Amino acid sequence: MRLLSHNLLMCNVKGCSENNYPLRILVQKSKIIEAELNPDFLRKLVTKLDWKGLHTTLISLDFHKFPEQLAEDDWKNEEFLKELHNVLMQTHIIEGKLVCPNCQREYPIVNGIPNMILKDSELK
Amino acid sequence: MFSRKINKRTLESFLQPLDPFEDPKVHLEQYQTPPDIAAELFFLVSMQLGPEEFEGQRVADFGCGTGIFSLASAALGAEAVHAFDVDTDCLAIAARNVEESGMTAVELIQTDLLVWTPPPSEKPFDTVVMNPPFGAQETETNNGIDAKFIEKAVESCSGNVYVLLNGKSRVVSFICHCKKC
Repeated sequence: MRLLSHNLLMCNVKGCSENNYPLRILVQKSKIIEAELNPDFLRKLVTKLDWKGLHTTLISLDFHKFPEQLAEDDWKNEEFLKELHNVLMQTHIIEGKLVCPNCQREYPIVNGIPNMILKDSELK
Repeated sequence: MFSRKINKRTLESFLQPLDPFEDPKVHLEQYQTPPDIAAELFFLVSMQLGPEEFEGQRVADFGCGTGIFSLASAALGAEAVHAFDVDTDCLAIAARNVEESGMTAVELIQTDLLVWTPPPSEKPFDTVVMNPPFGAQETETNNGIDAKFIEKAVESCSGNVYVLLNGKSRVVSFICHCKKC
């Protein structure tokens, strides 16, 4: 699971509707798998992301170099592109947990796949 | 990733060796989409609507099963493919298929799509593809499940949603309604 996918996930436990996104990440095992950097595609992809959620997550993982709001100049900065590509597209979380900041419900990440399946008691 | 000039035969022969369901679960309506049909569908879309339906796009596969649609999307140049399914067993097969094909664009998420909601700001996907459960079982949870999958796709997709549908499904009228809005 890369941060790219993590950006899609929130807590859907019944009654948990505030402060349920983004989920906190506890990383137990991660690895870098190289992927081709295509600056145009990367830029386009970022327009589909919840950047605020991603930024919050990056800060929590100790990546402090990313701006809270993206500017045109950022896209001309090669260093920025490489670092964004690395953290968004190449960093895979293999084992760990996603934790809801509101209700503290833990979602396991096993073999790189986050498991968001809720129990019946957690649904309507 | 293949060159832009990928043809249907190349796509089909890429999909052919992928592992199918080992023990398909009837209650989840797990049916293997044959590689030649998958290749046909994706190739058709690519030819008629242009390669930009997939190339460089963020794609979602709702109910990915063993990952055929996801891998076809990746083969056509998708920048990222998010493959969703509820079943641990088929996700394990999909994971194997993704690893063996070397398509790093594909990522797997285990969730119930009836429960999953997209993040607050943007509609995350450029394109959604699916071969959803048809709701053929007509149980309480299952009834109209294909319509619910499509609703979820429309809610989370800024572009086109491609659905492989059962001809007898009542959902055909739902799609016509969607196009108007």
